[in-house]
Amino acid sequence: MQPQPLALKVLNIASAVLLAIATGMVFFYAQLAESGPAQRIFYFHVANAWVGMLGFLAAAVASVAYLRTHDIKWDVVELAAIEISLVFFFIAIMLGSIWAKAEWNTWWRWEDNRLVTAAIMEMIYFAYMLLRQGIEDSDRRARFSAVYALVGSLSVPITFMSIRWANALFHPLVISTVSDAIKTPFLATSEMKLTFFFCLFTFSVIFINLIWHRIRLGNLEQKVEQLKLKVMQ
Amino acid sequence: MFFQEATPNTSVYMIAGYAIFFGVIIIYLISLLLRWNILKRDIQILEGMEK
Amino acid sequence: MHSKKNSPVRNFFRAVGAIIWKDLSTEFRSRELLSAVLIFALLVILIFNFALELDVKTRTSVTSGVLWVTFAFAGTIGLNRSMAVEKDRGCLEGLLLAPVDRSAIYFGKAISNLAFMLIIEAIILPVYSLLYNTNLFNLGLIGVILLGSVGYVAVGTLLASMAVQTRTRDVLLPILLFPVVIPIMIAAVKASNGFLQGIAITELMPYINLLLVYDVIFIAVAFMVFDYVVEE
Repeated sequence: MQPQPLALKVLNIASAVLLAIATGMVFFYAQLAESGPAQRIFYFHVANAWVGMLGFLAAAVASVAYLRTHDIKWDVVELAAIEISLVFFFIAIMLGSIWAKAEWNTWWRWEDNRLVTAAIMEMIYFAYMLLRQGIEDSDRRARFSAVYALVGSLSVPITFMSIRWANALFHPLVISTVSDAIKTPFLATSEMKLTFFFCLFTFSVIFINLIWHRIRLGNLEQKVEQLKLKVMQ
Repeated sequence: MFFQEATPNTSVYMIAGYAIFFGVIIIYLISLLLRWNILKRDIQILEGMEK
Repeated sequence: MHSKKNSPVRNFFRAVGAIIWKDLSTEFRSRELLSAVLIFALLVILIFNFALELDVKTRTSVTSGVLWVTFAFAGTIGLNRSMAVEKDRGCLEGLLLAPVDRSAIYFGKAISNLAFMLIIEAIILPVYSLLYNTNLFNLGLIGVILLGSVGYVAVGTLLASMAVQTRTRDVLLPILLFPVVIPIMIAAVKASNGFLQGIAITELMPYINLLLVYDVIFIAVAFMVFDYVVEE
């Protein structure tokens, strides 16, 4: 298999450096918030959720692309995107839960529609993985996966809105969008805002880096499958 | 009047959060590496069988 | 003179009708699926009775939730069996050989699945009313049940067609279906509860709209994408 292209190697270094800087900013540059040190979780919590969203969108696009072109490379991209989204949303949910415990003394908030939607997305992703595991034929697996990815992708925004409406009566929303996040007391000073955006940027780079690696891995998987078919004839 | 309430000491949560982040990322990267190596080995074996 | 007897549109509806007729008549003859799902649904209600310790006051707030959970689980069983029968008896291959648009198969199956689910619900409602002395014959409630079932079956038929072709089969359908069908559960339970409590319909419109939007979107998507699920 081809060695890593130069661009990828550069990206690896860039990601590592940016992550180091971001971590430094979180702990030393951004000021201590009124609610205590646990607020610092917020920076990575949102940034990880952001990566999850990027993966989700990439998967949605890839699923439609596969259904239209039947080109297996889109299946590889789709699986890579979902796997990465799964990992990063998992981290985001964990961090969100810990932060909720620190901030509001509860490990879970049903009224937080982003948290609940993220959990539902994780379930859809696991279902996706189980679906793939249950199919041997690679063409059928790619087709079914793309169909489920599409159905899942469409249901997520609807789920997000329905939880929001269902809760609006009882629990005023704390944060629902990134723009809300900026205006909240969680990011009081300009240094904190800068740290927040730098984290978003850093994690965007990390996303591109990781999905590139995962796609390479996926291509290798494809190669092994093809070889297996050839050898068995 | 001169003394403000100290900010609550929630450092434990902060440390737990970042430990989870770095922990999971490292585990994921290791898994990518392991899977890569296993697949490379599979390719070598299969290419050997082809001949 | 151009005869319309064999136009694609007529063939389409004929195919859909044929599938519905086949499913419903086989079911009426054996009634095995109906009785199984029915007993299952009644057992679920029974379990809820003991699990939730429903005094009269709690009962009213919890009724719509219990009903929809029952419908969701019963629906899954119905969907599974409906598609499994196709696969096992080789009907699917037969249907695919017919020179009809694939989507006719989808609509035929979906409508017969819907009919089946509505029959189950039509039996559960009076039974629940009797057991718990609540009047469930509420027009709004029935409307919500209709809308919710349509959406559930629209997505369920598509996903069941996939699940039945995998190794894990029956187990996979609820895992695939439930996360995706959550908007229906949310909106249907809220709207049902609203109608049962006598809340004004204007306040329930967001939920009804949600159900409508969901139904339209997913019927359209399932219809467009069904081809990919039954290709050989």
